[in-house]
Amino acid sequence: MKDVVDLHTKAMDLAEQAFVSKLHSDFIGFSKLSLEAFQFEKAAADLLINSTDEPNRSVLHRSAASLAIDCKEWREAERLITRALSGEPPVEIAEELRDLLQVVYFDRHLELKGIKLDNTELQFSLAGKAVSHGTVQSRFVIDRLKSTETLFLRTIERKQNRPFREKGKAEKNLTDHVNLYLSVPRAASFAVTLRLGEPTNQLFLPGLNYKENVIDEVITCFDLFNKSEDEQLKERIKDPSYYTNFVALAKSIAPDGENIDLVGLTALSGSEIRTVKLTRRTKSIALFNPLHISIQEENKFIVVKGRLEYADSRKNKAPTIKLNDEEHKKAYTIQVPDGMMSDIVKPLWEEAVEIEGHLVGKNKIKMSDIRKIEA
Amino acid sequence: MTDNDPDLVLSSLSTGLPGVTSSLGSSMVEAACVCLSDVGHESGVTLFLEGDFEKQMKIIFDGVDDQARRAWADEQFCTEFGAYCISLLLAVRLTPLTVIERSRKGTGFDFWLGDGTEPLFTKKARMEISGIRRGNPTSIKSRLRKKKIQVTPTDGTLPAHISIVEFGKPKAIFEAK
Repeated sequence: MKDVVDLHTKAMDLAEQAFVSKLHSDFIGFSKLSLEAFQFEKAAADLLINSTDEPNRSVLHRSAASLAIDCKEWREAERLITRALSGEPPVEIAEELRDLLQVVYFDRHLELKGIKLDNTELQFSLAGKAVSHGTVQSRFVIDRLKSTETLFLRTIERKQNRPFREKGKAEKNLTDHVNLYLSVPRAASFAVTLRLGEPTNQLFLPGLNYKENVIDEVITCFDLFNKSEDEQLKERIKDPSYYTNFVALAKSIAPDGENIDLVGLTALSGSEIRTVKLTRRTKSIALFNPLHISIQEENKFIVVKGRLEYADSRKNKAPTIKLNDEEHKKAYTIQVPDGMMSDIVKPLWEEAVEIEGHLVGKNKIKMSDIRKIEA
Repeated sequence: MTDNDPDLVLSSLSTGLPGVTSSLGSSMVEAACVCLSDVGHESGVTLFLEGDFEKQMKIIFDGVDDQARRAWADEQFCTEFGAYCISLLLAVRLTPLTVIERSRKGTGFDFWLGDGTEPLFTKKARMEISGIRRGNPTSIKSRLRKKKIQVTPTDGTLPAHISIVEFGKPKAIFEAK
C-alpha cells in the first residue's frame, strides 16, 4: 500500500501544480504536469487492478481517468473508467465514473468523424441523462434548437447594425434566407448538423460576409460566454439589448446539469475546426450584474411562480407581463428588461413559470430572470 | 484556528492542510476573495452558517486586484474553488477531522476528511462541496436537496459532509451525512 500512497501523493502534487499553471495561463506547463500526474496516478491505480479494496480502487481509477481527460488520452480514460466499473465501486463513485465516461464520449463526438461541414454549418451535440446513443427526449433538444435559430437571426441583425427588434417578427426577406436546416440526427451522444440557408442575393445582407462570418461570430460569442469573459462579450455585443438577448438565449441553450450535462458546438473557421464545449450550468448564469442592484432593491428580492397570462409591449410603454399565482391567489405585474420580451418571454406564454426579480411596488416586480417550470 | 475564534480568516488556508498544498490552498483563497469582492462584500462581512451548526462568523479576507479577477474570470470555476476554501476551513473548524486526502474529480478535486490513521480513502468522509455565486433561498435549498440525494446513506455508499456556500448573503450550510 505504501507504493500506492507514494505514487498517488506525487500524482496529486503534480495535479495541483498543473492546476495552478493553468490558472496563470501557462498551458504548456499545464499539459506537461498533467501528463506526469496522469502517469503517476495510473501507476497507482494499476497496483490495485486486482484488488477489492474499495473505495481506494475506484477513486484512484476515477482520479487517473480525470487526468487522462486533461491530457486528451481518451482511450486511456475509457479503459480506466470501465476497469473501475467492473469492480465494486461505492454507489456514488460508480455514478461519477459513468458521468466521466459520458465526458469521454462527448469529447470524441465533438470531433466531426468524417462529417464534412462547410462554413454555413455547425454541429450541435448534446449529452446527459436525457440522451442515449443517437436519441434524446425531444423537449430537451427542440427548445434549444429554437433558441439557437433565434440566436442566429439576432446575430445577423446585429451584424447588419439593425436596431434591436423588441417586438414583431424579423423581416421576411431576412427570415426567408436564414432558415435553419437540420440534418438527420447522428448516433453520437446526440448530434445534428445545423445549416443556415444560403442567401440567393447577397444584397439582402449588406455589409455581411455571410458564409464566413455568421457561424464564426456565434462560436466566438459562445466561447466568451462559456469562459465568463463578460467584458469581452460586451465589447463584441455593444448594444445592451442585443447583449441581454444573447445571454438569455445562451442561458436557455446551456446545460441544466440534471438532464443535459454538455452542449457542444463544432464549426469550421476557414480550414480550422473550432469547438466550444458549453459547460456553464443554466442555474449559475446571472442575466444581470448583481452590482447594479441597490441594497434597498436587494432586500426586496422575490421569487414568484405562476402562469404567464398577459403581455403588453405597446409602443412607448415599458414591456410588462402579468403573472397569475393561482396558489396564493395573487397577480403580479412584471417589468421585462429590454432584449427579453420577444425571444425569451413570449415563447413562455400560458406556461407555468418561475420569475426572479425585485419588488418595486405593490405586486409589481422588476424581472431579472424567468424560467419554465418543468412538469 | 479554534472554535472559539469568531472569525473565519481565509488566508489561513494559504499555509495548506495535510491534504492541500499551500499553492492550491492559496489559489482557493484567491478564488474566495474574488467571489466575495465580486458581490460587493468587504472583509468582516458576516457568514450565516446553517445546518448542523447554526452560528455567525466574520469572514476576514484580502482585497483582490485585476490580475486575480482575470485569472478567475470563469465564474463557475471561481465559485467552485471559492466554495472549496470556505468549506475546508469550516470542516477543520467544525469537525474533529482535517482534510487528509484528495483526488481528481472532473475539472476539480475531491477532498476527504479523516484523522490519518488509515491510508488513502479508507474510513474517510467525503466533502460534497457546492458553490453559488449569488443565489436565492430556493436555489440554495434545491442545491442542498440535490446534494442530499447524491449522498443518501445506504449500503455501499460513503460517509460524507455536505457544504453549500452562497456568496451573495454570504451563507453556508454544513451538514454531516
